Amino acid sequence: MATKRYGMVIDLRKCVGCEACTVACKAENGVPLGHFRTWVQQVEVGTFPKVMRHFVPKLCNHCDDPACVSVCPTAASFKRSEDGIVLINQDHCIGCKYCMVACPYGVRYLDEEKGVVDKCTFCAHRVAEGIIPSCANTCIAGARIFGDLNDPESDIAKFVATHPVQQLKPEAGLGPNVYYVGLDKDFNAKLGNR
Amino acid sequence: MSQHVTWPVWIALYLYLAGVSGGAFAASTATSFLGDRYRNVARWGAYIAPWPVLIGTAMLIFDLGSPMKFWLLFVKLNPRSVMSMGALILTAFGAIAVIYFWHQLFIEKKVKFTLLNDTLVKVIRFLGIPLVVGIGTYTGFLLNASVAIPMWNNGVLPLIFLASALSTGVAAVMVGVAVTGKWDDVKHEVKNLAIADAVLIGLELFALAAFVWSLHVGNLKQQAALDYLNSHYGLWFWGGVWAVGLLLPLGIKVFTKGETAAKAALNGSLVLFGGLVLRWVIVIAGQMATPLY
Repeated sequence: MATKRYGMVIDLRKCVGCEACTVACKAENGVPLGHFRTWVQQVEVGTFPKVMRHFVPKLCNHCDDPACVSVCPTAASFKRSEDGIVLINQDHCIGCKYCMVACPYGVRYLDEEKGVVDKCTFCAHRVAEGIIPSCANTCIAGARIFGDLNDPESDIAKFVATHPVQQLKPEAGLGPNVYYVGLDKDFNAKLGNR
Repeated sequence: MSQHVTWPVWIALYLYLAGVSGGAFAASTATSFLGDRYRNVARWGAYIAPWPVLIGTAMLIFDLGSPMKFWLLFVKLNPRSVMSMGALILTAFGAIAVIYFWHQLFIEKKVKFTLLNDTLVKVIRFLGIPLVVGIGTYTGFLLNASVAIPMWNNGVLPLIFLASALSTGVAAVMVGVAVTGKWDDVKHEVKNLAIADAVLIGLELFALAAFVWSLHVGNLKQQAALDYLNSHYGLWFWGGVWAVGLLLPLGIKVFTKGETAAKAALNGSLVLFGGLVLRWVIVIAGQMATPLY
Protein backbone atom coordinates (compact mmCIF):
# COMPACT_ATOMS: atom_id res chain seq x y z
CA MET A 1 0.00 0.00 0.00
CA ALA A 2 1.20 3.44 -0.85
CA THR A 3 -0.14 5.40 2.11
CA LYS A 4 -0.15 4.43 5.74
CA ARG A 5 -3.15 4.43 8.05
CA TYR A 6 -1.96 4.60 11.60
CA GLY A 7 -4.30 3.23 14.23
CA MET A 8 -4.38 1.66 17.64
CA VAL A 9 -5.97 -1.40 19.17
CA ILE A 10 -6.72 -1.31 22.89
CA ASP A 11 -7.31 -4.72 24.43
CA LEU A 12 -9.66 -4.04 27.33
CA ARG A 13 -9.16 -7.58 28.63
CA LYS A 14 -5.63 -6.58 29.53
CA CYS A 15 -6.22 -3.04 30.87
CA VAL A 16 -6.12 -2.80 34.66
CA GLY A 17 -6.65 0.96 34.85
CA CYS A 18 -3.21 1.76 36.25
CA GLU A 19 -3.09 5.05 34.29
CA ALA A 20 0.56 4.57 33.38
CA CYS A 21 -0.40 5.65 29.83
CA THR A 22 -2.02 8.81 31.20
CA VAL A 23 1.13 9.76 33.05
CA ALA A 24 3.54 8.78 30.26
CA CYS A 25 1.56 10.88 27.78
CA LYS A 26 1.55 13.93 30.03
CA ALA A 27 5.30 13.66 30.54
CA GLU A 28 6.09 12.95 26.89
CA ASN A 29 3.96 15.75 25.48
CA GLY A 30 4.11 18.33 28.27
CA VAL A 31 0.31 18.37 28.52
CA PRO A 32 -0.85 21.35 30.63
CA LEU A 33 -2.29 20.95 34.11
CA GLY A 34 -5.93 19.88 34.09
CA HIS A 35 -5.86 18.50 30.55
CA PHE A 36 -5.22 15.06 29.12
CA ARG A 37 -4.50 13.65 25.68
CA THR A 38 -5.22 10.14 26.87
CA TRP A 39 -6.90 8.94 30.03
CA VAL A 40 -8.64 5.86 31.42
CA GLN A 41 -12.35 6.16 31.85
CA GLN A 42 -13.93 3.93 34.47
CA VAL A 43 -17.38 2.54 33.79
CA GLU A 44 -19.57 0.67 36.22
CA VAL A 45 -22.03 -1.81 34.78
CA GLY A 46 -24.86 -3.76 36.38
CA THR A 47 -26.76 -3.45 39.64
CA PHE A 48 -25.66 -4.67 43.05
CA PRO A 49 -24.59 -7.38 43.75
CA LYS A 50 -23.82 -8.14 40.12
CA VAL A 51 -21.64 -5.15 39.36
CA MET A 52 -18.47 -4.78 37.40
CA ARG A 53 -16.04 -1.98 36.74
CA HIS A 54 -14.50 -1.62 33.30
CA PHE A 55 -11.54 0.47 32.21
CA VAL A 56 -11.70 2.22 28.86
CA PRO A 57 -8.60 4.13 27.78
CA LYS A 58 -9.50 7.08 25.55
CA LEU A 59 -7.55 9.13 23.05
CA CYS A 60 -8.00 10.82 19.68
CA ASN A 61 -9.48 8.35 17.20
CA HIS A 62 -7.66 9.85 14.20
CA CYS A 63 -10.87 9.38 12.20
CA ASP A 64 -11.06 8.74 8.45
CA ASP A 65 -13.33 11.77 8.04
CA PRO A 66 -12.73 13.79 11.20
CA ALA A 67 -15.48 16.20 12.30
CA CYS A 68 -12.80 18.51 13.72
CA VAL A 69 -11.17 18.87 10.31
CA SER A 70 -14.43 19.62 8.47
CA VAL A 71 -15.55 22.31 10.93
CA CYS A 72 -12.19 24.06 11.43
CA PRO A 73 -12.64 27.58 10.00
CA THR A 74 -8.94 28.17 9.36
CA ALA A 75 -8.06 24.64 8.22
CA ALA A 76 -5.68 24.44 11.20
CA SER A 77 -6.95 20.95 12.00
CA PHE A 78 -5.88 18.61 9.25
CA LYS A 79 -5.46 14.93 8.46
CA ARG A 80 -1.97 14.14 7.29
CA SER A 81 -2.30 12.52 3.87
CA GLU A 82 0.74 10.25 4.13
CA ASP A 83 -0.24 8.45 7.34
CA GLY A 84 -3.72 9.58 8.43
CA ILE A 85 -2.62 11.23 11.68
CA VAL A 86 -4.92 14.13 12.62
CA LEU A 87 -2.93 17.16 13.70
CA ILE A 88 -3.39 20.85 14.52
CA ASN A 89 -1.29 23.57 12.95
CA GLN A 90 -0.87 25.79 15.99
CA ASP A 91 0.13 28.81 13.91
CA HIS A 92 -3.28 28.75 12.23
CA CYS A 93 -5.48 27.74 15.19
CA ILE A 94 -7.39 30.73 16.56
CA GLY A 95 -8.91 28.87 19.51
CA CYS A 96 -12.55 29.12 18.40
CA LYS A 97 -13.28 25.68 19.95
CA TYR A 98 -15.56 24.66 17.06
CA CYS A 99 -13.62 21.36 16.84
CA MET A 100 -14.22 20.78 20.54
CA VAL A 101 -17.99 20.98 20.16
CA ALA A 102 -17.87 18.87 16.99
CA CYS A 103 -15.71 15.98 18.22
CA PRO A 104 -17.93 13.14 19.50
CA TYR A 105 -15.05 11.73 21.54
CA GLY A 106 -14.28 14.78 23.68
CA VAL A 107 -10.53 14.37 23.16
CA ARG A 108 -9.65 18.01 22.53
CA TYR A 109 -8.85 20.76 25.01
CA LEU A 110 -8.01 24.43 24.89
CA ASP A 111 -4.44 25.18 25.97
CA GLU A 112 -5.29 28.44 27.73
CA GLU A 113 -1.69 29.61 27.86
CA LYS A 114 -1.04 29.19 24.14
CA GLY A 115 -4.62 30.09 23.18
CA VAL A 116 -4.88 27.11 20.85
CA VAL A 117 -6.63 23.74 20.88
CA ASP A 118 -4.53 20.63 21.35
CA LYS A 119 -4.92 16.85 21.52
CA CYS A 120 -3.24 13.48 20.96
CA THR A 121 -0.86 13.40 17.99
CA PHE A 122 -0.23 9.63 18.11
CA CYS A 123 3.17 10.93 19.28
CA ALA A 124 3.96 11.95 15.70
CA HIS A 125 7.41 13.12 16.82
CA ARG A 126 8.21 9.59 18.08
CA VAL A 127 6.59 7.86 15.11
CA ALA A 128 8.80 9.94 12.82
CA GLU A 129 11.80 8.31 14.54
CA GLY A 130 10.33 4.85 14.08
CA ILE A 131 9.25 4.30 17.68
CA ILE A 132 5.74 3.75 19.02
CA PRO A 133 3.65 6.32 20.95
CA SER A 134 4.49 6.80 24.60
CA CYS A 135 1.21 5.34 25.91
CA ALA A 136 1.67 2.07 24.00
CA ASN A 137 5.34 2.00 24.95
CA THR A 138 4.66 2.27 28.66
CA CYS A 139 1.54 0.08 28.99
CA ILE A 140 2.29 -2.52 31.67
CA ALA A 141 0.07 -5.13 30.05
CA GLY A 142 0.76 -4.52 26.38
CA ALA A 143 -2.88 -3.59 26.00
CA ARG A 144 -2.17 -0.96 23.34
CA ILE A 145 -1.02 -2.03 19.90
CA PHE A 146 0.02 0.78 17.55
CA GLY A 147 0.79 0.41 13.86
CA ASP A 148 -0.16 0.77 10.22
CA LEU A 149 -3.58 -0.70 9.52
CA ASN A 150 -2.84 -0.66 5.79
CA ASP A 151 0.19 -2.95 6.13
CA PRO A 152 -1.13 -6.54 6.29
CA GLU A 153 2.16 -7.68 7.86
CA SER A 154 1.90 -5.26 10.83
CA ASP A 155 1.00 -6.52 14.30
CA ILE A 156 -2.08 -4.31 14.42
CA ALA A 157 -3.44 -5.42 11.02
CA LYS A 158 -2.93 -9.08 11.95
CA PHE A 159 -4.63 -8.51 15.29
CA VAL A 160 -7.63 -6.75 13.76
CA ALA A 161 -7.94 -9.51 11.15
CA THR A 162 -8.06 -12.25 13.75
CA HIS A 163 -9.98 -10.71 16.66
CA PRO A 164 -13.47 -9.29 17.04
CA VAL A 165 -12.87 -5.56 17.45
CA GLN A 166 -15.20 -2.63 18.10
CA GLN A 167 -15.02 1.12 17.70
CA LEU A 168 -16.40 3.90 19.88
CA LYS A 169 -19.53 5.47 18.43
CA PRO A 170 -19.32 4.01 14.94
CA GLU A 171 -22.77 5.53 14.40
CA ALA A 172 -21.19 9.00 14.26
CA GLY A 173 -19.91 7.85 10.87
CA LEU A 174 -16.45 9.35 11.19
CA GLY A 175 -14.47 6.12 10.73
CA PRO A 176 -12.44 6.07 13.98
CA ASN A 177 -9.06 4.31 13.78
CA VAL A 178 -8.85 3.30 17.43
CA TYR A 179 -10.21 -0.20 17.93
CA TYR A 180 -11.15 -1.92 21.16
CA VAL A 181 -11.37 -5.55 22.18
CA GLY A 182 -14.08 -6.33 24.69
CA LEU A 183 -16.03 -3.11 24.32
CA ASP A 184 -19.27 -4.42 25.73
CA LYS A 185 -22.46 -3.00 24.28
CA ASP A 186 -23.87 -2.50 27.79
CA PHE A 187 -21.12 -0.21 28.89
CA ASN A 188 -20.49 1.33 25.50
CA ALA A 189 -23.91 2.92 25.95
CA LYS A 190 -22.73 4.40 29.24
CA LEU A 191 -19.74 6.16 27.74
CA GLY A 192 -21.64 9.35 27.02
CA ASN A 193 -22.64 10.97 23.82
CA ARG A 194 -19.40 12.73 23.26
CA MET B 1 -19.64 11.60 33.29
CA SER B 2 -18.61 15.18 33.15
CA GLN B 3 -20.77 17.83 31.63
CA HIS B 4 -19.09 20.65 29.92
CA VAL B 5 -19.95 23.92 28.26
CA THR B 6 -17.30 24.58 25.62
CA TRP B 7 -19.13 27.45 23.99
CA PRO B 8 -20.23 29.84 26.76
CA VAL B 9 -23.18 32.18 27.01
CA TRP B 10 -21.43 34.79 24.83
CA ILE B 11 -21.86 32.56 21.83
CA ALA B 12 -25.60 32.31 22.49
CA LEU B 13 -25.78 36.08 22.85
CA TYR B 14 -23.93 36.54 19.57
CA LEU B 15 -26.28 34.19 17.70
CA TYR B 16 -29.16 36.27 19.03
CA LEU B 17 -27.68 39.68 18.22
CA ALA B 18 -26.72 38.63 14.69
CA GLY B 19 -30.32 37.57 14.18
CA VAL B 20 -31.76 40.86 15.46
CA SER B 21 -29.49 42.78 13.10
CA GLY B 22 -30.43 40.58 10.16
CA GLY B 23 -34.14 40.92 10.84
CA ALA B 24 -33.95 44.69 11.27
CA PHE B 25 -32.01 45.03 8.03
CA ALA B 26 -34.54 42.81 6.23
CA ALA B 27 -37.39 44.97 7.53
CA SER B 28 -35.64 48.09 6.30
CA THR B 29 -34.70 46.88 2.82
CA ALA B 30 -37.94 44.98 2.18
CA THR B 31 -40.18 47.92 3.05
CA SER B 32 -38.08 50.35 1.03
CA PHE B 33 -39.51 48.68 -2.09
CA LEU B 34 -42.97 49.80 -0.99
CA GLY B 35 -42.10 53.46 -1.33
CA ASP B 36 -42.51 56.20 1.20
CA ARG B 37 -45.40 54.61 3.10
CA TYR B 38 -42.98 52.72 5.32
CA ARG B 39 -40.34 55.39 5.73
CA ASN B 40 -40.19 55.01 9.53
CA VAL B 41 -39.68 51.25 9.29
CA ALA B 42 -36.99 51.73 6.65
CA ARG B 43 -35.38 54.38 8.82
CA TRP B 44 -35.41 52.43 12.08
CA GLY B 45 -34.31 49.24 10.40
CA ALA B 46 -31.28 51.06 9.02
CA TYR B 47 -30.61 52.65 12.43
CA ILE B 48 -30.75 49.40 14.36
CA ALA B 49 -29.15 46.91 11.94
CA PRO B 50 -25.40 47.50 12.36
CA TRP B 51 -25.08 47.63 16.15
CA PRO B 52 -26.22 44.30 17.59
CA VAL B 53 -24.14 42.33 15.10
CA LEU B 54 -21.06 44.46 15.75
CA ILE B 55 -21.38 43.98 19.51
CA GLY B 56 -21.95 40.26 18.98
CA THR B 57 -18.92 39.96 16.73
CA ALA B 58 -16.77 41.63 19.36
CA MET B 59 -17.97 38.99 21.84
CA LEU B 60 -17.09 36.23 19.39
CA ILE B 61 -13.58 37.55 18.95
CA PHE B 62 -13.00 37.92 22.69
CA ASP B 63 -14.15 34.34 23.24
CA LEU B 64 -11.40 33.05 20.95
CA GLY B 65 -8.40 31.39 22.58
CA SER B 66 -6.26 33.74 20.49
CA PRO B 67 -8.31 36.90 19.78
CA MET B 68 -5.41 38.57 18.01
CA LYS B 69 -5.34 35.81 15.40
CA PHE B 70 -8.96 36.35 14.28
CA TRP B 71 -7.79 37.73 10.91
CA LEU B 72 -6.71 34.22 9.94
CA LEU B 73 -10.44 33.60 9.34
CA PHE B 74 -10.12 35.69 6.17
CA VAL B 75 -6.82 34.25 5.02
CA LYS B 76 -7.17 30.52 5.66
CA LEU B 77 -10.53 29.40 4.28
CA ASN B 78 -12.22 26.03 4.64
CA PRO B 79 -15.25 25.65 2.37
CA ARG B 80 -16.55 22.73 4.47
CA SER B 81 -16.59 24.83 7.64
CA VAL B 82 -19.77 26.74 8.40
CA MET B 83 -17.77 29.13 10.58
CA SER B 84 -15.33 29.88 7.77
CA MET B 85 -18.12 30.70 5.33
CA GLY B 86 -20.15 32.41 8.06
CA ALA B 87 -17.27 34.77 8.87
CA LEU B 88 -17.33 35.98 5.26
CA ILE B 89 -21.11 36.45 5.19
CA LEU B 90 -20.96 38.17 8.57
CA THR B 91 -18.27 40.60 7.45
CA ALA B 92 -20.08 41.43 4.23
CA PHE B 93 -23.30 41.94 6.15
CA GLY B 94 -21.69 44.07 8.87
CA ALA B 95 -20.00 46.32 6.32
CA ILE B 96 -23.16 46.73 4.24
CA ALA B 97 -25.28 47.42 7.32
CA VAL B 98 -22.90 50.19 8.42
CA ILE B 99 -22.74 51.74 4.93
CA TYR B 100 -26.51 51.55 4.63
CA PHE B 101 -26.92 53.20 8.05
CA TRP B 102 -24.60 56.01 6.96
CA HIS B 103 -26.60 56.45 3.77
CA GLN B 104 -29.76 56.75 5.84
CA LEU B 105 -28.12 59.57 7.81
CA PHE B 106 -27.17 61.17 4.47
CA ILE B 107 -30.77 60.98 3.26
CA GLU B 108 -31.83 62.77 6.43
CA LYS B 109 -29.10 65.36 5.79
CA LYS B 110 -27.30 64.54 9.04
CA VAL B 111 -24.02 63.79 7.29
CA LYS B 112 -22.53 65.47 4.25
CA PHE B 113 -21.44 62.53 2.08
CA THR B 114 -22.43 58.97 1.27
CA LEU B 115 -20.69 55.95 -0.21
CA LEU B 116 -23.76 54.93 -2.18
CA ASN B 117 -25.43 56.16 -5.35
CA ASP B 118 -28.96 55.19 -6.41
CA THR B 119 -27.83 52.07 -8.26
CA LEU B 120 -25.81 50.79 -5.32
CA VAL B 121 -28.71 51.39 -2.96
CA LYS B 122 -30.91 49.28 -5.22
CA VAL B 123 -28.26 46.55 -5.35
CA ILE B 124 -28.05 46.50 -1.55
CA ARG B 125 -31.81 46.33 -1.23
CA PHE B 126 -31.90 43.33 -3.57
CA LEU B 127 -28.92 41.72 -1.85
CA GLY B 128 -30.46 42.43 1.54
CA ILE B 129 -32.81 39.47 1.60
CA PRO B 130 -30.36 36.72 0.54
CA LEU B 131 -27.74 38.20 2.88
CA VAL B 132 -30.19 38.20 5.77
CA VAL B 133 -31.24 34.63 4.96
CA GLY B 134 -27.54 33.79 5.06
CA ILE B 135 -27.06 35.46 8.45
CA GLY B 136 -30.24 33.97 9.89
CA THR B 137 -29.63 30.40 8.76
CA TYR B 138 -25.86 30.20 9.17
CA THR B 139 -26.08 30.53 12.95
CA GLY B 140 -28.28 27.42 12.83
CA PHE B 141 -26.01 25.57 10.42
CA LEU B 142 -23.09 26.47 12.69
CA LEU B 143 -24.55 24.40 15.54
CA ASN B 144 -26.05 21.92 13.09
CA ALA B 145 -22.58 20.81 11.95
CA SER B 146 -21.69 19.28 15.32
CA VAL B 147 -22.26 15.54 14.96
CA ALA B 148 -21.47 15.23 18.66
CA ILE B 149 -24.47 17.15 19.99
CA PRO B 150 -27.88 15.65 19.20
CA MET B 151 -29.83 18.79 20.09
CA TRP B 152 -27.78 20.77 17.56
CA ASN B 153 -27.36 18.15 14.88
CA ASN B 154 -30.93 18.73 13.77
CA GLY B 155 -31.93 19.92 10.32
CA VAL B 156 -34.73 22.20 11.54
CA LEU B 157 -32.40 24.38 13.60
CA PRO B 158 -31.43 26.76 10.74
CA LEU B 159 -35.12 27.35 9.99
CA ILE B 160 -35.92 28.05 13.64
CA PHE B 161 -33.06 30.52 13.83
CA LEU B 162 -34.04 32.19 10.55
CA ALA B 163 -37.66 32.64 11.69
CA SER B 164 -36.46 33.92 15.07
CA ALA B 165 -33.94 36.28 13.45
CA LEU B 166 -36.56 37.86 11.19
CA SER B 167 -39.13 37.96 13.97
CA THR B 168 -36.83 39.54 16.58
CA GLY B 169 -35.47 42.02 14.02
CA VAL B 170 -38.96 43.10 13.02
CA ALA B 171 -39.87 43.32 16.72
CA ALA B 172 -36.88 45.58 17.41
CA VAL B 173 -37.92 47.89 14.57
CA MET B 174 -41.52 47.80 15.77
CA VAL B 175 -40.49 48.87 19.27
CA GLY B 176 -38.28 51.63 17.86
CA VAL B 177 -40.98 53.02 15.58
CA ALA B 178 -43.82 52.72 18.10
CA VAL B 179 -41.91 54.30 20.97
CA THR B 180 -40.36 57.23 19.10
CA GLY B 181 -42.85 58.12 16.39
CA LYS B 182 -45.98 60.26 16.70
CA TRP B 183 -48.67 57.58 16.91
CA ASP B 184 -50.93 58.97 14.19
CA ASP B 185 -47.99 59.13 11.78
CA VAL B 186 -46.69 55.64 12.40
CA LYS B 187 -49.92 53.80 13.20
CA HIS B 188 -50.34 51.99 9.88
CA GLU B 189 -46.68 51.05 9.77
CA VAL B 190 -46.72 49.51 13.23
CA LYS B 191 -49.99 47.74 12.45
CA ASN B 192 -48.51 46.02 9.41
CA LEU B 193 -45.26 45.25 11.20
CA ALA B 194 -47.29 43.54 13.92
CA ILE B 195 -49.03 41.42 11.27
CA ALA B 196 -45.67 40.51 9.71
CA ASP B 197 -44.31 39.56 13.11
CA ALA B 198 -47.36 37.42 13.87
CA VAL B 199 -46.79 35.48 10.63
CA LEU B 200 -43.11 35.00 11.51
CA ILE B 201 -44.05 33.83 15.01
CA GLY B 202 -46.39 31.30 13.43
CA LEU B 203 -43.58 29.98 11.24
CA GLU B 204 -41.24 29.80 14.20
CA LEU B 205 -43.79 27.89 16.27
CA PHE B 206 -44.17 25.41 13.43
CA ALA B 207 -40.40 24.95 13.09
CA LEU B 208 -39.98 24.60 16.87
CA ALA B 209 -42.73 22.00 16.99
CA ALA B 210 -40.95 20.05 14.23
CA PHE B 211 -37.72 20.31 16.23
CA VAL B 212 -39.28 18.96 19.42
CA TRP B 213 -41.11 16.24 17.51
CA SER B 214 -37.98 15.08 15.69
CA LEU B 215 -36.17 14.72 19.03
CA HIS B 216 -39.19 12.99 20.55
CA VAL B 217 -39.39 10.31 17.85
CA GLY B 218 -35.64 10.21 17.21
CA ASN B 219 -32.96 7.79 18.34
CA LEU B 220 -31.98 7.20 21.97
CA LYS B 221 -29.55 10.12 22.05
CA GLN B 222 -32.12 12.52 20.62
CA GLN B 223 -34.73 11.35 23.11
CA ALA B 224 -32.22 11.77 25.93
CA ALA B 225 -31.49 15.29 24.70
CA LEU B 226 -35.19 16.17 24.78
CA ASP B 227 -35.51 14.62 28.25
CA TYR B 228 -32.64 16.79 29.42
CA LEU B 229 -34.15 19.88 27.82
CA ASN B 230 -37.50 19.24 29.51
CA SER B 231 -36.15 18.36 32.92
CA HIS B 232 -33.39 20.98 33.28
CA TYR B 233 -34.46 23.83 31.01
CA GLY B 234 -38.17 23.07 30.73
CA LEU B 235 -39.27 26.28 32.42
CA TRP B 236 -37.09 28.40 30.15
CA PHE B 237 -37.86 26.49 26.98
CA TRP B 238 -41.60 26.00 27.38
CA GLY B 239 -42.29 29.00 29.62
CA GLY B 240 -39.75 31.47 28.30
CA VAL B 241 -39.57 30.64 24.61
CA TRP B 242 -42.94 29.08 23.83
CA ALA B 243 -45.30 30.82 26.27
CA VAL B 244 -43.83 34.28 26.92
CA GLY B 245 -41.80 34.70 23.73
CA LEU B 246 -44.18 33.32 21.12
CA LEU B 247 -47.69 32.35 22.24
CA LEU B 248 -48.29 35.38 24.47
CA PRO B 249 -47.43 38.04 21.83
CA LEU B 250 -49.32 36.03 19.21
CA GLY B 251 -52.31 35.78 21.56
CA ILE B 252 -52.25 39.50 22.37
CA LYS B 253 -52.07 40.32 18.66
CA VAL B 254 -54.91 37.99 17.69
CA PHE B 255 -57.29 38.34 20.62
CA THR B 256 -57.10 42.02 21.51
CA LYS B 257 -58.57 44.66 19.24
CA GLY B 258 -56.93 47.84 18.09
CA GLU B 259 -53.28 48.78 17.89
CA THR B 260 -51.59 51.07 20.38
CA ALA B 261 -47.97 52.09 20.83
CA ALA B 262 -47.89 50.41 24.24
CA LYS B 263 -49.21 47.15 22.84
CA ALA B 264 -46.67 47.14 20.01
CA ALA B 265 -43.85 47.92 22.43
CA LEU B 266 -44.96 45.15 24.80
CA ASN B 267 -45.33 42.55 22.05
CA GLY B 268 -42.02 43.51 20.51
CA SER B 269 -40.26 43.25 23.86
CA LEU B 270 -41.76 39.81 24.52
CA VAL B 271 -40.56 38.57 21.12
CA LEU B 272 -37.08 39.99 21.75
CA PHE B 273 -36.99 38.26 25.14
CA GLY B 274 -38.14 34.94 23.66
CA GLY B 275 -35.50 35.03 20.94
CA LEU B 276 -32.75 35.59 23.50
CA VAL B 277 -33.94 32.73 25.71
CA LEU B 278 -34.20 30.46 22.66
CA ARG B 279 -30.52 30.93 21.74
CA TRP B 280 -29.41 30.56 25.33
CA VAL B 281 -31.37 27.35 25.92
CA ILE B 282 -30.28 25.71 22.66
CA VAL B 283 -26.60 26.62 23.05
CA ILE B 284 -26.23 25.78 26.74
CA ALA B 285 -28.71 22.91 27.16
CA GLY B 286 -27.44 21.32 23.95
CA GLN B 287 -23.94 21.07 25.37
CA MET B 288 -25.07 20.18 28.90
CA ALA B 289 -27.25 17.35 27.58
CA THR B 290 -24.17 15.84 25.96
CA PRO B 291 -21.81 14.33 28.52
CA LEU B 292 -18.23 14.84 27.45
CA TYR B 293 -17.00 11.40 28.51
